[in-house]
Amino acid sequence: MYPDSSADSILLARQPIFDNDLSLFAYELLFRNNHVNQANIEEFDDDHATSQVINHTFLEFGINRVLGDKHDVLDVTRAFLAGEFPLPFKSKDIVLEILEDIEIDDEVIKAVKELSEQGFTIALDDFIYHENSKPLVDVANIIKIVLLTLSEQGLIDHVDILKQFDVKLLAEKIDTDAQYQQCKQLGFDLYQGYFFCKPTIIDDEPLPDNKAAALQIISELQRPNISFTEVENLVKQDTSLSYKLLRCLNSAAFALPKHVNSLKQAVFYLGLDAIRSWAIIIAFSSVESPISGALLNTALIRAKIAEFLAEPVDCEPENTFILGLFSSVDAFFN
Amino acid sequence: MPELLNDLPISNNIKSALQEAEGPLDKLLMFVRTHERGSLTIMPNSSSVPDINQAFVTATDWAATTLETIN
Repeated sequence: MYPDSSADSILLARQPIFDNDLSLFAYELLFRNNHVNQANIEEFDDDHATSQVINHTFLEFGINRVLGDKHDVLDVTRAFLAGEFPLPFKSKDIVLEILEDIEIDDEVIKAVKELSEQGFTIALDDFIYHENSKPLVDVANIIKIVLLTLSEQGLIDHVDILKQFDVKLLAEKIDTDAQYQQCKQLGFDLYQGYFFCKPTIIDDEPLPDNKAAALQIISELQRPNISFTEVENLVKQDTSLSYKLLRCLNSAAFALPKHVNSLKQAVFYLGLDAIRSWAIIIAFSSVESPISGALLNTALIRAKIAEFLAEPVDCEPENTFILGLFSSVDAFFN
Repeated sequence: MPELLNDLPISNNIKSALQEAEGPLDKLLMFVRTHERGSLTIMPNSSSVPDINQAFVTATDWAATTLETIN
């Protein structure tokens, strides 16, 4: 897949970053090295391999497929800053993240200033303030702070100091709603983590009827060997689902040769499996949630990855799709 | 995962993975959850990293297209 096999052990992932309104601000692309599967660890060159995967992601996969129209945050090491590896992208919409283990010296400060002048947004990763870092803070646009690395008072002090600069404060590794609320109160601007995938309240309250009904319909729809009549009857139970499904099937995305007014007509063009999949997705998406956009996106990606990886683990793809979809269901139905 | 799944007509493999973190689907579930955090601690047995990257990019693209289609 890559010209150099060492790049075959770099795992690609992304994490969402939200602003104060819980709107999506950016995705951070992660390149993680799976050394475990690496035969010659001694010879492994992290920067080299990472540079290959970054290139591959930007040039061959097409970065738009991974990021949509959002900003992207990329980690850069000293080798990148020193220009050893070219950055295969334009500055627009790219945030470069200066890693915390880069020793701050004149060379680094000069390189970061130049990148900033080229139009890149500069973020400082896992930041802990000290006097030496001031020249970098002056150039930075975003400062990332990992909650757990600071005491409660340390956190308050950091916010006080950094608020004097023209920077956005980003709280990293936010895993719970309580942490998100705490950082928001302290005056942070951005939040990175999977707190939105966790339910905020865990209790035994019964589900609202409409949400319980949606889950019931999805579960019925995913049964193997379901007949067309059964699908039709299930969809008809929910007038909103019927309406949205027909509207969707008539949209430009499907390019049907003529407008269809019933599922019976649609199944003629698209087949039962397609109709059933879309009914499941639309029923799932209709459940409202404060950040359902990000949550729904995450659920769909989980479902599709699980579907793709079903065969190697010897499971039915239909089963694993539903598994991925339902894996976030407790947060959804909160 | 709450008891709300108990009465639903989904397979026991899915239920036990979601409710008890057990059964053949559990490892796959753990993988998709840890993957989005960029963790490599749990990997599906026979999928290579390039396979997973390809699955991730294709799934991300598919999800974006799907959300556009239904909205």
